[in-house]
Amino acid sequence: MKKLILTLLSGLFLFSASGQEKFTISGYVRDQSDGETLIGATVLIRELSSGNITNVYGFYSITIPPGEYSVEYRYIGYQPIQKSVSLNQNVRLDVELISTEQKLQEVVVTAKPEDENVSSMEMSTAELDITTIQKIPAFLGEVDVVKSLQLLPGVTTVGEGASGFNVRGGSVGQNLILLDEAPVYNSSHMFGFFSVFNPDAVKDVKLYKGGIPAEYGGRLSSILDVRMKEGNIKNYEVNGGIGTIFSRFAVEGPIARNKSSFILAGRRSYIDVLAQPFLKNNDLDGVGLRFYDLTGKTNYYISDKDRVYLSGYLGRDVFKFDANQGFDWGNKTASLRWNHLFNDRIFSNTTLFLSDYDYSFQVGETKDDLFSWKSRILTYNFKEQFSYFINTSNELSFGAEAILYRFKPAEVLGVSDGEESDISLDERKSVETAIYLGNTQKISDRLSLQYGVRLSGFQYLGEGSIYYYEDTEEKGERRPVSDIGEADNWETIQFYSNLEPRFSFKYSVNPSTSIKGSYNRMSQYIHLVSNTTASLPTDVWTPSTNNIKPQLADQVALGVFKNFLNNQLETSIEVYYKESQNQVDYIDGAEILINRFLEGDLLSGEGRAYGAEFFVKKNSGKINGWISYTLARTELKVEGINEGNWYPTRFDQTHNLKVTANYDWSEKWSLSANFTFITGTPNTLPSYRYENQGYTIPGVLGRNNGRIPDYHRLDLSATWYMRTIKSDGSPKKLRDHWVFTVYNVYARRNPFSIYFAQTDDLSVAGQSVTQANQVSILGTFVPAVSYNFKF
Amino acid sequence: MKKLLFLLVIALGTSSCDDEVDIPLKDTTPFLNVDAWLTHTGETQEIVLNYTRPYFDNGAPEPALEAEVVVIDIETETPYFFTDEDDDGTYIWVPADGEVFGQLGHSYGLQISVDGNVYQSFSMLTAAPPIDSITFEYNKKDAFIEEDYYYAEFWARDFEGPGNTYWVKSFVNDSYLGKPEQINIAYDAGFSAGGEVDSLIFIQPIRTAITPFPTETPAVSPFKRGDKLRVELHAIPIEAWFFLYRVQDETVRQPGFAQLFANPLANSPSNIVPTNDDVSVVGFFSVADVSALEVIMSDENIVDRVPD
Repeated sequence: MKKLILTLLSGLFLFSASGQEKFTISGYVRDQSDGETLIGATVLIRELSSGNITNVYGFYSITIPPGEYSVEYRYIGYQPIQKSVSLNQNVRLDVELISTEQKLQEVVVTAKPEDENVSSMEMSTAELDITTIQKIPAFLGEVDVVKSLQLLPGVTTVGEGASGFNVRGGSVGQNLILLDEAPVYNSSHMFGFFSVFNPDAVKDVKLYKGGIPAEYGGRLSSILDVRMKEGNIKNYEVNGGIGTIFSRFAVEGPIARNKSSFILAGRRSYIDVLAQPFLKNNDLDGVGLRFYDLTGKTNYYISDKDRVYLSGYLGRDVFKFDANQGFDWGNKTASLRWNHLFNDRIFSNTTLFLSDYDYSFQVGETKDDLFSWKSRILTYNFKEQFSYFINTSNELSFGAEAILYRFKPAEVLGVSDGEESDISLDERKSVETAIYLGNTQKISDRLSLQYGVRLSGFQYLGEGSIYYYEDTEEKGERRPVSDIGEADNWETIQFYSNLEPRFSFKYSVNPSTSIKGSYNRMSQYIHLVSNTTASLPTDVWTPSTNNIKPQLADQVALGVFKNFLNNQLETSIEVYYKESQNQVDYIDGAEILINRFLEGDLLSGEGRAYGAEFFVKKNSGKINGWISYTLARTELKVEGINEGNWYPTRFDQTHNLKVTANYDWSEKWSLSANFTFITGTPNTLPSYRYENQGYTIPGVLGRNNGRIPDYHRLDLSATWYMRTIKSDGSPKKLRDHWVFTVYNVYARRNPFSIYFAQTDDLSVAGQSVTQANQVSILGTFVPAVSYNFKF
Repeated sequence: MKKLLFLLVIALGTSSCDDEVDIPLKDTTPFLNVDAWLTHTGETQEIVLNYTRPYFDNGAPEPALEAEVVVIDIETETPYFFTDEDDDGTYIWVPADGEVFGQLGHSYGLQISVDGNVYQSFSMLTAAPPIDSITFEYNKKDAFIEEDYYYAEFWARDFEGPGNTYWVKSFVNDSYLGKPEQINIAYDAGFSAGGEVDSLIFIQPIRTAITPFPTETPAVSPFKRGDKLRVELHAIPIEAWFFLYRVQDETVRQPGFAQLFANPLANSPSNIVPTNDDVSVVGFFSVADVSALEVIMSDENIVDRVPD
């Protein structure tokens, strides 16, 4: 470890010491119309044919020898700008680009440098900008960030109604979802039908599936980095939409012109309102199935060198069958960030955030007989990140992070006939820390490297009971408690630490072809405990303890990236192999909800996932879109399950094909379609039956020993843009369009699962009749219309 | 606990749909199934032995014949011989007049010899608390039941100390509520271990689960004046509780949206042990003390719902 850091450091000194005097050009790149900073814009020094791209805050910095230069700023969908610079001192150059997208019809598949696919260091990432997302036919016509990502290679879901998403064979709980750097524990509204991100407030979405830079950590499979808009700093703007299931409204504008701006965006569903007339009886007052969310952000330019951002999110789902009974859950996050330029080459970001995820559940018709359960995770975080733009060949990033978790797994009150019983579980505290160092280095025009290391640590802290378990004779059975100890407040019960090396390379074969490879190790200290078929909002998060070890994963990926037709056609092929340790699984009959002895019901095993991802994307033209195909396998091996043999996970999908196409028919109309084909996911099927006490009991050989039928679906949408010009020829301020969608056009009853049960009937032999039933969460096609406006 | 989630999901209804499908299943050779649930009563005790069969086989199971079946009181070494006079795989022990099977606090061993194999099992007989009373609650009609209706509740208290387990059986006008979704079991006064609800009156969902709640709407009142209701409280061993808990989980597979909450299908654990490791066996052996109460619904036992 030490050796590695030393090598890194000595390498760095070498870079900074070499060469003659140099100066720096730095600044921000923004959108001219609303002042939003642009993430990933290219800044190119023409004379040197080298440059840089802007970071997530829109900042760039290039250090080169003195001279006369022509600097070009490029970003897809914007007119490029060239600036002449006489570089004999450090130059600050903030640039505003003008969008070419005055016609909404012109589709931009990704607003990034034209050849980013080939030229950027990154591999195994999936990125979509909001313009693209808005074009995709969506369930009930509501554009959705997470659903859109599922159209890209390597990203899957178990089915309709399942919360979250799976990346390269990882479970839902192995994704770190960051909203302006604060973690969101549950990314779904209404059981996964919608994600918590309001598209009106989202600026950029990036998913890391592999080759994860050292600055990110804490989950095995992926990092979903969602960046919110800062708000129009020049003019007031209103965005909104009225849809079939919910409405959206967003306001943004300057607080002080060119100094400070804000955005406030909200959504509220109204199925409950619409359902009201259909409820036959007034006794059902209080019945509700609704969600709302509110996203807000403000920022302030203190000086050229300092900018602060404050962002917040508040969302809640309510699922009730009368006024007192039901469950509800929600995320709250707040983050305060400070961007500071120490000088033209050192950019820093300091983040403080708070995330609060809770859910509660209550049943009982009277005060004398009720059951109420609240669960909560509070996360406090401090993060310090530095980018040091050493020279055109090296960009160093380093930083540190500390997270305090407070898990309150269950505050439970049971009342039976007026007598109370408090069965709450102890609060659990833990601290996760990390330091990281990484460098992006251009070795030659052809070869670039990114390498780094992250050292993470985790402390499981008191106070509370410490449980020790005996091993059972046969694995797969509930382990009995052998001893219970007590820990004092803040006493370290268990400490873990891991060294996570990260490495990736890019080799340009020619200007339109590159080969990229990566290796990364990830560790995960908090675990999502769920033994249901689909991930649910009520799933429990638990820290690593003296009994639960941190999960570890090693992944290697290799890819070929090639663009054709002057970057109009992008293609890539990537293969990956991933091995993971300490994967959590459960004994049969595990009680995971309110159980002090939960650890005794958990099993630990290893995982492996491998696959190939194919991607072809046509970026522009009247017909554009992409085809994504993934061939994959993901398996677990756990002692006590499936006789200790490998078995496929519930989200193992052999073939996964997604086709998305847009056709820009005219100024007024644009049509879109997407088609999905997925191999049926594994299910556990019975082999035999027997009767005991009159019940017909299924007998099983192995876990996930069969598959449900394949899933396929076609969705269509049409967007109708209203006139943008008044009858006298002057431009209208109001921009509006209608979106008509049909989800699941040919009404296929796609299987979610197959279950086996005895029916109420008896056979001729007097035995209960068994049958297999296939469940489809959506049994038909779903048409929808929504109206969207902006002024 | 999960039961509660089910209630919610059912109450909310579903927009999803179910279709019966044909699906090929892997087959396996048949092996012994033991259905041996004995009670500390003066009734004839039955042990049924037969063989497993393919999951979709709805014919009668093949009986296991010519078995030697004996239950032994470990403390007194008294043997109870079970015999199958009519060759149907049902082995019985008939008590003499006034005789009761077993003694509270004693352990029992089961030994079965059949087809050249020997199977063994053990169980403990513990006391059941008395049922204090049964009441019928009056309710105004609602979205699910189209008339004013009554549901029943039994009142009993869990014995002190954690880890007492029970099986509540209900008989309405002599018909046993025997569907898998009507399995009504308790861990102390609540649903499960780890979240003990010790030594309380059984919690409401357990108290009221003796009612045959309608599964389709609109429905009529589950009880009317003059209906006979018998409730039995079986004090079963903890392993038997876990077996039934698992049976319920594996057999009550809710349709539609509730499938989101389903666990992967798995085997229900048997406490029958073959002396030869290569032999498979399923089923369960349990001995239980039973307390019971039988009432006729009348103005005497009808109560109004406790107001909020």
